[in-house]
Amino acid sequence: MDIELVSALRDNARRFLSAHCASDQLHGFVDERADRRQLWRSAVDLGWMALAVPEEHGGMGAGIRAVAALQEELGRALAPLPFLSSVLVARALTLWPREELRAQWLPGLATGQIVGAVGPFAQHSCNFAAARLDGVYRVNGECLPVLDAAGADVLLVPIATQDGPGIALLGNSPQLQIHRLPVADRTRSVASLQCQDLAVPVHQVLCGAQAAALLEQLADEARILIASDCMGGAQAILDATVEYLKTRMQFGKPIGSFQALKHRCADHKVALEACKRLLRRATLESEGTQRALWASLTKFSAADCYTALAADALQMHGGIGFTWDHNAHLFLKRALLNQFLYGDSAQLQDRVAYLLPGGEPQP
Amino acid sequence: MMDRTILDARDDPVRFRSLVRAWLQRTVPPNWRQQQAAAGEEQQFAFQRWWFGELGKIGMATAHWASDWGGEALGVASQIIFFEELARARAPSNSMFVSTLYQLPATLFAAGTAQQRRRYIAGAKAGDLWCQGFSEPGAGSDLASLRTAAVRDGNVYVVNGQKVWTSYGQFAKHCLLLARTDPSQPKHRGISMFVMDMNSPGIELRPIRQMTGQAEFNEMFLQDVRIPAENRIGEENTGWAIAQSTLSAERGLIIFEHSERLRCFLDELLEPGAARQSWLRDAELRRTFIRTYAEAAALTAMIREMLEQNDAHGEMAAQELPVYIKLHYAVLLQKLGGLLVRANGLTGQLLQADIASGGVPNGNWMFDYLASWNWTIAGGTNEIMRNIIAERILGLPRGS
Repeated sequence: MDIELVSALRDNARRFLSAHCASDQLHGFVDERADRRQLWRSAVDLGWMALAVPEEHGGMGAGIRAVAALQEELGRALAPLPFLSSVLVARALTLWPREELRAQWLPGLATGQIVGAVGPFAQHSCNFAAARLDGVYRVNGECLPVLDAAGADVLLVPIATQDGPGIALLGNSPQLQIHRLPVADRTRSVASLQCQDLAVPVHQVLCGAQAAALLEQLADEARILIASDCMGGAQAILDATVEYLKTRMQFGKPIGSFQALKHRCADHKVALEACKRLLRRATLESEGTQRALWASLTKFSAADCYTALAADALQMHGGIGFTWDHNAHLFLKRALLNQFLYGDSAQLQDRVAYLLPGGEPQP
Repeated sequence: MMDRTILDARDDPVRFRSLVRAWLQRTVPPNWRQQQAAAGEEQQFAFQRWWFGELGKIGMATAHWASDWGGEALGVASQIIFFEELARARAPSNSMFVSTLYQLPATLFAAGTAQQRRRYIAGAKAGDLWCQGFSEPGAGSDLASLRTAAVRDGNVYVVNGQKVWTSYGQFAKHCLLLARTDPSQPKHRGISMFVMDMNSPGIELRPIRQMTGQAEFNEMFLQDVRIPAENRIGEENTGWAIAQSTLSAERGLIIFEHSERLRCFLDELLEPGAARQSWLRDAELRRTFIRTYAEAAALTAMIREMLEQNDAHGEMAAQELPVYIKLHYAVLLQKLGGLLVRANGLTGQLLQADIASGGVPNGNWMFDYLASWNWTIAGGTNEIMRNIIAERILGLPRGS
C-alpha cells in the first residue's frame, strides 16, 4: 500500500473512531452499557479486517505499514476491537507452509465472519499437550490468559507434541471451552481455554523449526503492532494532559505554567518522539534480516514510554484522573497490558542483547 | 590547491565511501591517540588546526556549508557517510572549531552583510578559530539579562563588561559577542551582536579549570574594547533574535558527529573477545545498557530525519527536532556515563589520561561521566530545553 493510501486509511480511521468511539461511547463499551459488536461490524464494513489478508483470499494484501498505521489509531482511541488478534491469525495462516488452511479461514477473517485469537507464547502459561493418533492430534490441557479468545472462531496456540514443541490452529468445538476472565484493561478481553480430548487434524499442527520460524516472525510483527498501539495511546494521553494543564486553574493560574508539571510533559514528549522514530525504523526493517532486533528494541521502548506517560498523566490530572469516568486509567491499564504481550521489557532487552553482535546468551 | 577527488564522487555513495575510508587510512596518524593522551590545550589546538587543514585540503572541513558560502552544499546522504567513516576510523574530533564551523555560518546566514560574509568566511575556512561571548556571571540561563555594555562613539562601539565560559578564547581570532546597546529597552530588545577581534586592546582572559581537570573555558574581561561599527551583525538592538540562530546551530548538526561516534563506541563495548565487557552478564546492568542502546538508536534516527528536513526545505528548516535531539542526547550521555562508572566498579574510578580531541564517550569511564555535564548544562541547560519544549512546542503557558 503506498504512502497516500496509508495516510488516507489513517485519516478515515481517526475520523470514524472520533465519531463512534469517543469518550462517552468508549465508557459505554467499557461498562457494557453499549454493545461493542456494533463497532466491530462497522470496522468490518470499513474493510479493516481485510487489510492483512492476501488478495487471493478476499483481502487487500496490505503490508505491515498500513496495519501498523491503523493499529496506532485504534490505540489512540483505546478501541475495544479484537483487531490485533485477527490480524495475527491471518498472518499466521498466510505464513503457514500448507495451502489448504488458507482457503478454509482467510476469507472469513477478511469479512469479519471469523474472529481470531492467539495464545500466550512467552508466559509459559499454556500446558496444551497433543498426542498423535490416527491422523489427528488429541489435545488436552489449559491455557490462560488468552487475548480476545472470548468469541474467537480460530485460535493459534502453543502445544507440546511427541515431536517437540509446536503450534496448533484450533477451531470451535464442544471439546474446547472458552471462559472469559475479568481483566483490568476493559478495552480488551481475555479468556481461559480448556481442551478435553479436542481432535485437531494434523495439517492444523506445525512442529519443530517450521513452527519456531513462523512464531518468531509472527511475534516480531505483533511487537511492531503493539508498539504502534502504544504510540497512538501515548500521543492521545499526552495531548489530553497538555490540554488539561492549560485549562485547569489553581493558585490563580493554569497549572501548566508550573515547571514541576511542564518539565515532565517535555520529557515525555521527547521520549515519545524518540520512540516514534524507532517504530518507523522497525516497520522499514520488518522484512529484513534485522527484523527481530528492531521489533524488540521498539516494543520495549514504546511500551515503557506509554506506561510511564500514562502513569504520570494520571498524577498530573490530580483527583479527576483518579475517577472511573475519566479516561486516564483506561490508558494506564491498556499500557500495562501491552507491557506483557509478546515479551515484557526485561525479556526483550535480553533478547536484544542476544541479537546484537557478540550475542549475550539468552538466560 | 584543493583536491576534489572525494567531493566529485559524492553522487556515487559506494565510491564516495571507499575514497573517504582510504583517505582516512592515509591521513589519520595511527598513533595520534597516544600522542594526544593528556595533551595540554596548546598541543590540542596545534593538532586540531592540522586536522582542520587536512580536512580542508579535500574540501571536507566546510563541506556542509552552502555553496554561495564557500561550502560545497554536501547532501545529507554524503554527510552521513562521511561522519560514519570518521567515527569508524576513530579519527580526531574538531571539537575546538564548533563556533567556527557551525555558529559563525548560522549567525552570518541569519543576519550578516555580504561584506561580512566575504570578510570572515574565507578566514574561517582557512582555519581562523572563533569563540562565543554570550554568557556572563549574572546571565546564564537568563541570557537576556546580560549587562556587558556597548556604547556608540562615532564609528566605534566601546565595550565594557565581563563574559564567561568562553571556550578556547586564548586561541580565537574572533569572538561573536552579545552586548547591551540600549539599557532603556526591555531586556530582550536592547541587545546587539558584534564580531570582536580577539587581539583588540582591553581583552583579558583567565582560564577556568573545570571539574574534569581541563581548562577549556575562560573568563573574559572587557575594558574599553573598541569595536568598529561595521562589525555589528544585523541592526542595532536585534542581537537577541540573531543569537537564537547562533544557538540553534548548536542543537542538532553538531550532535550528528557525536552520535555516530557514540554508536561505534556502544558497538565496541559489545565486541566479542577480550574487550567484551564482563558486566554485560549482569542482568540489571545489561538491561540498563540495552535501554541506552535503544535511546542511541532513536537519537541517530532523529538526527537523520532532521538532516533530511534541512536538506529538503533549507538549512534550519527543522524546528522541533533539534530541541529534542539536544535534550535526548544530553540525558542519554549522562545516563550512559553513570552506568559505565557503576559497571566498572572501583576500577572505573581510576583516572586515565584524557585523549584530547578524542570526543566522548571514549572508554575513560570517570572522565566521560564528568564530561557529560557539559552537555546537560552548556548551550541551554536541560531545564531550559524542557521550558522550550513545553512552551514553544506543547504550548503550555509561560511561568510568571
